[in-house]
Amino acid sequence: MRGAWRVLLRVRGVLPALGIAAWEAAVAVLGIPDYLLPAPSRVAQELFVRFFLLVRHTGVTLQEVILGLGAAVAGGGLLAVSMALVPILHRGLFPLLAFLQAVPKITVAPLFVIWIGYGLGSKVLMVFLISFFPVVVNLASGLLQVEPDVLRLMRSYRASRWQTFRAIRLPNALPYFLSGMRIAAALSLVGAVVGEFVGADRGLGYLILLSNAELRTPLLFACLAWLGVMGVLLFGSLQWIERWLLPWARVEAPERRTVAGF
Amino acid sequence: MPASIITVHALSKTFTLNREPLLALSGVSLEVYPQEFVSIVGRSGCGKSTLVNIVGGLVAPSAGEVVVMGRPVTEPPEAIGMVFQSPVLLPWRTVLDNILLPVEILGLPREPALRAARELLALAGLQGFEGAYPHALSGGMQQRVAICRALVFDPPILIMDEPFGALDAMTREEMGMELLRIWHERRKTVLFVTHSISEAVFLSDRVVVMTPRPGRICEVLPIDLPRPRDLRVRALPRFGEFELRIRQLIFEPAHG
Amino acid sequence: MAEPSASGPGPVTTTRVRLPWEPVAFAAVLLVAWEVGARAFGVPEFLLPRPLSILSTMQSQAGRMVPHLAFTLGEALSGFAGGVLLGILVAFGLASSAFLRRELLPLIVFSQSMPTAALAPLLVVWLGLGFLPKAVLALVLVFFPIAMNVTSGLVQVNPDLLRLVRSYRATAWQAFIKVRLPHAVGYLIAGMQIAAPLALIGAVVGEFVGANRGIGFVILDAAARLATVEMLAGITYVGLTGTAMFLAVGALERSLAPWLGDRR
Repeated sequence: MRGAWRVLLRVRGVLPALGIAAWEAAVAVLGIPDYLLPAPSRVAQELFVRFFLLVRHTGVTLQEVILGLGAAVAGGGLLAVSMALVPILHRGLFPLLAFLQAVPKITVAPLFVIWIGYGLGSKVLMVFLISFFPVVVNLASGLLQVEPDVLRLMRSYRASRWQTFRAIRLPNALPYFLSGMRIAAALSLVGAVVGEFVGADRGLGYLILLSNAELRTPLLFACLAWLGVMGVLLFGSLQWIERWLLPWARVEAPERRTVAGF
Repeated sequence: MPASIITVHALSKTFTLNREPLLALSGVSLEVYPQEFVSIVGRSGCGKSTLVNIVGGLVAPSAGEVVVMGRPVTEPPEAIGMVFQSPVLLPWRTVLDNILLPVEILGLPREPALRAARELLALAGLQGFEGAYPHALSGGMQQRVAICRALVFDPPILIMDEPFGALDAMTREEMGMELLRIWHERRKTVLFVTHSISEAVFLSDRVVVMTPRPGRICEVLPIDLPRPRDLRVRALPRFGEFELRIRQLIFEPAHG
Repeated sequence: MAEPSASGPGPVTTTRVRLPWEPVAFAAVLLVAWEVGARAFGVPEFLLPRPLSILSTMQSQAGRMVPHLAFTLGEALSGFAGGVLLGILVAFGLASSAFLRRELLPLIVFSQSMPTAALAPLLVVWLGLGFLPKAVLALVLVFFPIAMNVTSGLVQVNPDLLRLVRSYRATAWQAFIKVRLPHAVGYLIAGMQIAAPLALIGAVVGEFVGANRGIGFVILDAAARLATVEMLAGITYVGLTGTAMFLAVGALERSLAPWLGDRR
C-alpha cells in the first residue's frame, strides 16, 4: 500500500485531482444544493450544454479586451515615444503617470456607462484606461533606461536622435514593454468584467450577473472557468509574442517595483 | 619543524557534471604550519576552490582526509574563519550586526565579541560605520567587513577564496597590504586562493601551484622575500624570478 | 547616492530628495486647462464636471460620503489583514515542501489568470449584501501577491548567504530565522505595496455588485440619479484613499526595512 502511495505522489497534478474528487464527493455526501455550490460534474455539464452561449459571450468580452488593449498600446506607445524624444514632457508627465498607477481607476466604470451607454464602447474605454498606465510607464522606462556607454557609442558615430532611437532605444525597450503588457493584460480582464458588472447587456461579466440573479450557479462557475481559459490564452499569446520579438535573449524582464496600476 | 596545523592527506574529489564524472582533485597532499601565509594559485578548474571548501568542511571529499589542529574535518571546524569572493553581507543587518553573526550562530558570549568587533573595525579602518547598512558601502569596504566577521570569533586559521577578485586592481593591492597588516597583528594562519600570480608572491610564505585536469599540486614554492613586505618588495629581482617560475609551471607545464 | 570615502570616518549620509517642480506644474496646468476649457466651451456640468465643482461637492457632501468611505475602508483593511495573514501561512507551507510547490503553484498561476474580481457575484450569493463579501473579495485579491512574494522571499535566497551560515555550522532552524525570514520580510513589504490598493478595489467592486453602504454604493447611487458631479466626488475620494494606502505602506517599509535602500 505504501508503495502505491509513493507512485501516486510522483504523478503531477495528483493534488488538484484529489481536490476535485473531494469536492464532488462532498457535494454528494453533504447534499449541498446546486445554487450554493455545484458539483464539478454539474459545472462540466453546463460547460458542454451551454457551449455556444458561453462562446458568444466570451467573444464579446474578448473583443472588449483586445480593442481596449490595442488602444492602450497605440495611445501609450505614442505618449511614451513623445516622452522619450521630448525631455521636458518626460520630466513633467512621467512622474504624474507613475503616481496615478496607484490610484484605483476601476471606480470610473459607472461614469463611462453613463457617458457611452451599455454597449461595447464603455467597456473598451474602461479597458483602455486601466491598461494605459502600465503600458506607457513601462515603455517609457524602457526607452530611456539605456546604458550611458551605448549612448556614448552612438554619439561617437554622430548618430541622429532618430537613428539612436531606432537602433538602440526601441530594442532596449522591448522587454520593458512586454513586462508592462503582462500587467496590462491581467488588468484588462478585470476592467472588462467589472465594466460589464456595472452596465452591459452582453459579455461574460454580464452572463455572470445574470446567472447570479437567477441563482444558476453552475452556469456562473462555467463562466468563471471560461474567464480563466481566456486569461491563460492571453498570457500564452504574450509569451509567444515575447519569444517572437526577443529571439536574441532569454532576458529576465526587469523587475518593476511599481504598483500594477489600477 | 613545528607540527602542522592543517594536514591534507591524499585528497580526491569527483563531481558528476551532466552525468559524467569530473575529477576535480586527485591525490592532493599538503601541510600548512601555524602562522604561515600560504597561497594557492592555478588556472580556473584546477580545483583550488574545491580544495579549500573541503578543508573548510563545506564539501566532503571522495577520498583522503583533512586534519585541522589534530581533529579530522567532518563539518566546518570552529578553528576556521572563511572569506569568499563575494562579501555576502546580510543586507538587513548593520555592519556591526553582520560582524556579530557568527557569534550569534555559534552561541558565543556577546560582550567580549562586541569588544573584539569594535577593535577589528578600528583595525580595518571602518570606525564610524558600525550602524551603516551594506548597500551604502563600496565593494572594498564590504569585503573589509567580511574579513572582520571572519576574525570576530578569533579563529586561528583564515581561509580566503579569491577575496579581492571583484575589486579593481588598485583597491586590490591596497587590500593586500591591509591584509598583511592584520595578519602581522593577529598572528593567524592564512590559506589564500587567488589567480593573481603577483598577489600570491607578494603576500605569501609559500605558494602552492596547482594544475587542472585532474586537479593536483604541481609544486610548492617557498617565498623567502623579506618581511614586512611593502611596495619596494615588488621591485626586487627575486620577486620577478618567483613570478617567472610560477608562470612557467602554469603556462609551460612540460617544463620541470 | 554619494559613494562614501574609503578612508574618512563617520557614517554615510543620504542625499535628501527634493520634490521636483515639473510634474507639479504639469498637473496644475492640466487642471487649470480642464477648468477653464470646460467653462469656455460651455460644457454642461452633468456631462463633464469641472475640478472646482468636484472639490466643492466633496466638501459639501463630506458629511454623507466620508462615513461611507470609512465603511469601505473598513472592508478593505479587514480583507488586507486577512489576506496578508493567509498569504504568509500558505507561503510557509509552500516554502517548506517542494511537493506542495509543484502541485499548487500551477493552480495558483491559473487562478491568477482569471480576474479575481469576477468572484464578486458568487461571494454575494454565499455571503449576502453586507460587510463580509466585500472583505472576503479584498482578502482574495490580497492573498495572491502576498503568497507569491513571501514564498519567493523564503525560497529564493542567495545561495552564498546559505553557504555562509553553513560555514558556522548553523542548524536549519538558525538558517531559517537568521537568513530566510529577514530576507522574506523585504519581499513581504513589496507585496504589501502591491496589495494595498488591491484591497480597496476589492471592496469597491464588491459594492458595485451589491451593497447598500460604502463609497461604491454612493457612486452607483449617484449614477442612478445621473449626478455625475457626485460620482466624480466619490471617485476622487477613493483615489485619495488608494494613494494614501500606497504611501502608508511605503512609509512602513522605510521604518521596518530600512536596508532596502533605493532599490526602486
